[in-house]
Amino acid sequence: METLEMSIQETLPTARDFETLYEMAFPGVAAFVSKMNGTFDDAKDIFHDALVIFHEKEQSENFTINVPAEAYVLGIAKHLWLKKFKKTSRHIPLDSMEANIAIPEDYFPSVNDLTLLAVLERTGKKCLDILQAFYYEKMSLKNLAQALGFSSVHSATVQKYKCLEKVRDTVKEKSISYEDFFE
Amino acid sequence: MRTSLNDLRAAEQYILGTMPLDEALVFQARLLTNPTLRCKVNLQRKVYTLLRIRQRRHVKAAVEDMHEQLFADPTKAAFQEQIFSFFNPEKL
Repeated sequence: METLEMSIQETLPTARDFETLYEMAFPGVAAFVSKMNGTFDDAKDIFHDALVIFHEKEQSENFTINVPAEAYVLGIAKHLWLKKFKKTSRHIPLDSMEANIAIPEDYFPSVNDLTLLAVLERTGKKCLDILQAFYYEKMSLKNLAQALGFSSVHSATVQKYKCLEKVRDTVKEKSISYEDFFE
Repeated sequence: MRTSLNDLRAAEQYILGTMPLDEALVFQARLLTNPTLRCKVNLQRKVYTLLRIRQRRHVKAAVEDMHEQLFADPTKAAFQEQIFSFFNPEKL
């Protein structure tokens, strides 16, 4: 598991170019939040969420932008501000690039989901690590097999689906409104 | 792989949109007529949502570390001052 944890760490945005983006984009977001009478902590919170969303978008296929990354991050930050303070875009003018930015609908998780995740962290952290390495860190099954000490890709595939099944069954068992899943 | 794992794989392809169209249509028909399968697929969908929340938390923790380092680094004093200048005492 040590190798697997290392692989997850290595793929997080610690790269030099992400640090450069941090330095390039934060002043713009801080200026915007200050203009909105927000505090340093507001700016930091909004900016960090904007970076997480940008990283997620960047990882997805077909993501291309024709503006500098820091302008896009500022656009995300404006949307997050609108969402946080329940304002309409009439209060904050958005240009056409900014208006087209979509914030993931499930970005702010429900209490139920957070409770479920806490249960899963306690009962099946290893499986969550394996699934996360596979889906979000784009670790190949070959590398996953090596990291987990399996002799073949087939064994790693079976393990991945067994984990998916285990996590799914825990979600079923612990869900507060299990009936919802029948809809 | 045993049948239940094959079902998980099919559901994954369906949910993530990687299933060929003809197979997806057959799968969709099975979903309409099979409430148990529908429930399992919805639960699986929830698993992906939870993994996404977990992944965002990991990224956010990495961003937080980056923030701590940048604001503790004496060679980044100009950057720190630039940010703090937006939040001078008169504004707070």
